[in-house]
Amino acid sequence: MAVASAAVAARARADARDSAALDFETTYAAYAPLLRKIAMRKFGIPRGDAEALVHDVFTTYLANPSNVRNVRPYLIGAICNAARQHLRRDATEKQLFCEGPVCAATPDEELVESVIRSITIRSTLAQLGPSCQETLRRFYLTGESAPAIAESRQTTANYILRLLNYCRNRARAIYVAMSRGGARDVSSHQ
Amino acid sequence: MSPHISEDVIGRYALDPRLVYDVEAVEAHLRDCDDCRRSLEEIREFDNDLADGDAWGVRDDNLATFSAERAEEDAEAQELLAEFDDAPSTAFVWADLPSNRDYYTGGVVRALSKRAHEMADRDPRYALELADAAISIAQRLSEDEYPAMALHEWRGEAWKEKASALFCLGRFAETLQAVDRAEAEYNQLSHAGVGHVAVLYIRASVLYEQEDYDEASRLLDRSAAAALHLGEIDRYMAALHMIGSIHYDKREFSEAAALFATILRFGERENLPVWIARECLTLGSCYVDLGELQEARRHLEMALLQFTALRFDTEIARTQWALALLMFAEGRRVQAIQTLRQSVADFSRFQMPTDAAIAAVQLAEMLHTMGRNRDIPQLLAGVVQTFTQAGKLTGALTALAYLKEAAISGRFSKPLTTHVRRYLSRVDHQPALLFAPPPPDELV
Repeated sequence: MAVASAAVAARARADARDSAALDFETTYAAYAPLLRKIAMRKFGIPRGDAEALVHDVFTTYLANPSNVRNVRPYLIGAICNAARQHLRRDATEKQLFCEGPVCAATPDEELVESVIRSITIRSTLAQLGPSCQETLRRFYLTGESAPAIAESRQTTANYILRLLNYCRNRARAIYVAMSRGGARDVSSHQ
Repeated sequence: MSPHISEDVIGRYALDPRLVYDVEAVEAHLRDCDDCRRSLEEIREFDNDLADGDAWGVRDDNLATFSAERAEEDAEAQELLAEFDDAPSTAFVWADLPSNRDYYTGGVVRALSKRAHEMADRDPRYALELADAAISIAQRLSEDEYPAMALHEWRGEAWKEKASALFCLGRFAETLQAVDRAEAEYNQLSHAGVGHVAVLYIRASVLYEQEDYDEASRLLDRSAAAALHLGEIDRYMAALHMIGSIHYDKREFSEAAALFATILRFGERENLPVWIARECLTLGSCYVDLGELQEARRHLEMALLQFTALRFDTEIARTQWALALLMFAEGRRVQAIQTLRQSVADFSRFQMPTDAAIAAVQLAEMLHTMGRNRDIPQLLAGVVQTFTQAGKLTGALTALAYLKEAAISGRFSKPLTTHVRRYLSRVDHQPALLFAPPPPDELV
């Protein structure tokens, strides 16, 4: 009996873990880009600092998710408070909350468009082959140079640059096609 | 002008100008041609997008792991604490969780804080034990195991629950100390959140009980605004409700009614029976005091209906009490007295001596208005008995005895009952509060 109940308990823990992982993926994918863009565009915070603020906002949320009734306004309000606190770190005045009738972080059309663009590009990149994805990722996201990528692949930098151009052209073509047809679906995530 | 440059060449130029054969000619064309320049700008914008982590769906692995581990810990804590689910509070105290390393997890801290939150109203002493255990364990958790932000959040939460329990026990000075500790933890976070909202609310509650209405209102305004900003509508409404109660206590019935009506509309829109019932009761009470008796009846009858459906027995008794006041105002005095007598009996049956006493004092006031002073001593003696049986040997007994004596000696008056009712409502939260007779000018 004890073995059986231990197995049930272990199963419950594993289920809880899986369910939380899924919830996190969904919430993070839906809101992290928006929060980052709010911090950067609405408050002028550099990308690196914005990343850290989004990380902190999510950590606090995940520490006690049951405290939050409505995730979207909570996260937007929290990034607004975090951005203001960040900007005021050295100021003498320490205002805890974003006050005023309209929250400074309220996403406007331009910001939402920019989030939609990021999400559309994410879907675009997912449609590329693995070689293109890896090459673009290393060059653009990781910031590796063409010669460095070439060396790891035992080829020439010129070949990598041509490959990058080819892959980016493919991506742009898919992106243009998706923007015309599928942007509305993507916007529903926001 | 020469023909347009192909997208492929512009793309290569954007990557590295050395990839095009005649770079000077390409640059000269780009200077003159708006279309090709626009193409170049679009490609560069796309390149910028590719450098954005959001476009790659970069996942924060630390957060993903933390989220999964937290959920697993919650399930584990539920198992660990299952033995205390229906056990008496003494079993929990004897178990001395903070002395056992098995319980040193964030999940246990969260579970204890949650349990303390649930118990604060029902059994604040137990809630205090739970919160103390949560604090003790939270202090032992290390930043090697958990993110610092999470530790501050959990410690803040545990101190906040301790503050709530102390508040319910009427230990206000200690409440404020615990609130300070909670706030100190929350201030370590990179942003203000729900914890700060709650801390402001508890501070305001203490000030409200101490009748520092102006400062309480100021804090409640901040708490309400901050809650609204975070989309925490329930907390916003709770702050608004207390602001309404302050207006009611200050006899600013119109202002109170306006706020209660706002919350009622929210409850109706969101179909939240508890808010609807609660606000119908408070709004109905305001209308009784404003002399708008039809509106009062409409709201109080709705409150009765809602509380009956919810099976909130104590709130049904409270609503009957308000209905009795309405009947008295309508001139149906005998029925009012019968109804209020029933409320006093109900509160005694529910072992709520303070409410029974306040209702009884109000009933005594009605009897006095009707010239039935001889019934008052017996009524108050019954309430004193309820208090004694409940073991509540506070200044409330002195206050009731004083009122009973006043009825016998012919000094009974409405200002005196108001003074005693006010004292009774405070002493329940502040058992150490001594009763002092009202100054002569208050009795005029």
